Amino acid sequence: MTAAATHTLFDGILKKAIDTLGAAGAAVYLGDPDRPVLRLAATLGQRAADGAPWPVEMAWGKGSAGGGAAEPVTEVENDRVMLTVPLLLGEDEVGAVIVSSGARVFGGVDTDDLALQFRALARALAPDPLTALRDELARRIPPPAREWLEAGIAAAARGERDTILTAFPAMGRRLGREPLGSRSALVPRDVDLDVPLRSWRIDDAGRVALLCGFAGNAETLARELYFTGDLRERCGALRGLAVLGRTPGAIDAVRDAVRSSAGELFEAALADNPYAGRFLPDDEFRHAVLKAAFVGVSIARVPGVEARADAELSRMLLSYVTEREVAGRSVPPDIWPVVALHPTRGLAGKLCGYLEHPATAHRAAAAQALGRIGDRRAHAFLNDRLAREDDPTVRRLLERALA
Amino acid sequence: MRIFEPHAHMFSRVTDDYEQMALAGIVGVLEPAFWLGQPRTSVGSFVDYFDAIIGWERFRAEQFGIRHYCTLSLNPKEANDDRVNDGVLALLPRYLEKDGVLGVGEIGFDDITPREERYLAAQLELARAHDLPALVHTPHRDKVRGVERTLAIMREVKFPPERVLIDHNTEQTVPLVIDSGCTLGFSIYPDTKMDEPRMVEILRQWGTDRMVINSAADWGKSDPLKIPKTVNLMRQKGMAEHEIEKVVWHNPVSFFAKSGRLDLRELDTPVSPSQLFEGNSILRGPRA
Repeated sequence: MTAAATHTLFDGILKKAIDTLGAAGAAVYLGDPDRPVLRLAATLGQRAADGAPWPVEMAWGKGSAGGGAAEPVTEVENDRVMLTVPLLLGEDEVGAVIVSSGARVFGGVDTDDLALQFRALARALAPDPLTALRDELARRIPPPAREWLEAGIAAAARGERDTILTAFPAMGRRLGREPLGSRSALVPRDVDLDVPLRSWRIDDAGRVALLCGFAGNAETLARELYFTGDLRERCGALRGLAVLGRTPGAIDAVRDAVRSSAGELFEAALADNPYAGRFLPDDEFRHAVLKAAFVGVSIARVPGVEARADAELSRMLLSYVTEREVAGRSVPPDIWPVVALHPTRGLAGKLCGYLEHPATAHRAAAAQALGRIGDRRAHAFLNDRLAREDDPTVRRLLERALA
Repeated sequence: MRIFEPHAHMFSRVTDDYEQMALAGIVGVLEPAFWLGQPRTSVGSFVDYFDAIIGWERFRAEQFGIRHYCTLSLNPKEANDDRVNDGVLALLPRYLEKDGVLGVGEIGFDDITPREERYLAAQLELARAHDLPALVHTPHRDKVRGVERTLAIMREVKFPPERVLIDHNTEQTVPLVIDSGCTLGFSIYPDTKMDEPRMVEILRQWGTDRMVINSAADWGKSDPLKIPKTVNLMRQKGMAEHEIEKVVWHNPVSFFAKSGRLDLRELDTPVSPSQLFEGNSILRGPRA
């Protein structure tokens, strides 16, 4: 991105934040790649009533607005006159936007939409996937492995398909198979979505780097590599489709993986993989989501699940809930916000009960779901819980449901 | 005691076997490609079989905390079947590059036919081309003759004996194979092949260098716990712990490490659910 384009982007986002919140001023801070500090990137308006300037640098961590510890901020911090909203790429904080209230006192609800907008900003600032994968791998694999991979990427860039076919099975031996351990996400070019790296392994990253570097049709190649690969290669091919898939041409690979009973393969096909969410037909998508709930993959990790949720999916998921409850078994809480998009009769009542669940995840999911249903009869229970709730996330979701 | 099981056809076994093997101390298992009892009528059946043992079976094993490896080949019995032999040979170059493939095998003789000879030689060449060791099956009938022919073909194609494991040995074949420089495998079986007391006697007589034992558990009457059961007898008969460990761990591991693909650090790291799924909280939704 050019400097001018970045400037325009920052300006637009700051103006919108100030207008939305009726704030006095706002500033974008970006993480320094070498030191644990945030550096001022753009400002608009006043930081404080006395006209004190925005600091050019501040400690990167909790309490950034006042300067503080080195722990990265992953949730919105609100000290009532100053909001610190993290710029998140995946779960990785790449910077922060600080909003100064002026006279007004911020409430918890103010921040939710902002967090979403700033996610879009973080995506816009993200490097291309191949650069990002090289950076991730550079920190985790030794120089000989890097040289080997770079030779493969160079061959891929020359369109040498055979090199990729040989390198794909060897990737685990060459780079390792340990979890990549990244909190970040890849942002494919020309599509506004991100692909979280949280469950990728090192060999996944190497395989996708080769596909990203390929001069030919990477989607077709990923499909071929899937059907000739072992489990790890198949996972790599599916993760490649998450980043590079642009047509339904390779959806049969996803279909095959979703049908499998190998947890790792199923997960690579569906969880954190926007390709499946974009191209699986409705009926197959619903069944894939149901299977995710069934095998214990959080359905919140299925991209597009909220956009594609419908009454039929609610019926299927709630039928699964009933089956679990009849058997006296627990129910995954991430079902609640999804079924709330197309609620069935009695759902609000059931969710009011879950507001009193001992598990924080259930209370949070029930509060979020009740916020989506918007049934005013639930307010008495939401208020009742809010008066006793200690968990800050659940409190925020309860407040939002009541707003 | 850590045990590496260098020959078990887990494809034909149930999950209880994996569970009991893990409890008995088996942390790694090698699955050689073999005959399924029922002849295969097309190359496609081999594709599915190979895919299963390079992928699905590894996944299954890891559910029980066991690392799974394999060797791939056209087995001696089906080398005689013209519906599949050439087609399977053509598949092998692609599959031999797969992760977890630590050798070419089982190859060797069944009925000692000209076809078996031809495919044995061709697959030793494949092992050389892919820089892999070879796992050689010896016939149930006319075993000594089969071993002699195997050693002759190895010499003809100049395949290095230190990269060959000759399996299913008996008292009759030990002297031949010891002299050849190959590693010696013994399959401890309930009724046929080798049993525990004879095995301990062979080790007492010939020592433990290049000696490897296995269960060769398959679809027939066999027992995947034969290595731990033999270990028990070795102890009862007063064998030193380090000698036992050499036979059930160091010898098989160092033989298959010749593939350059056996990650010893990984083999020493217990498989855990968190390794499989990078942390339950990621794969699984927060559980109530």
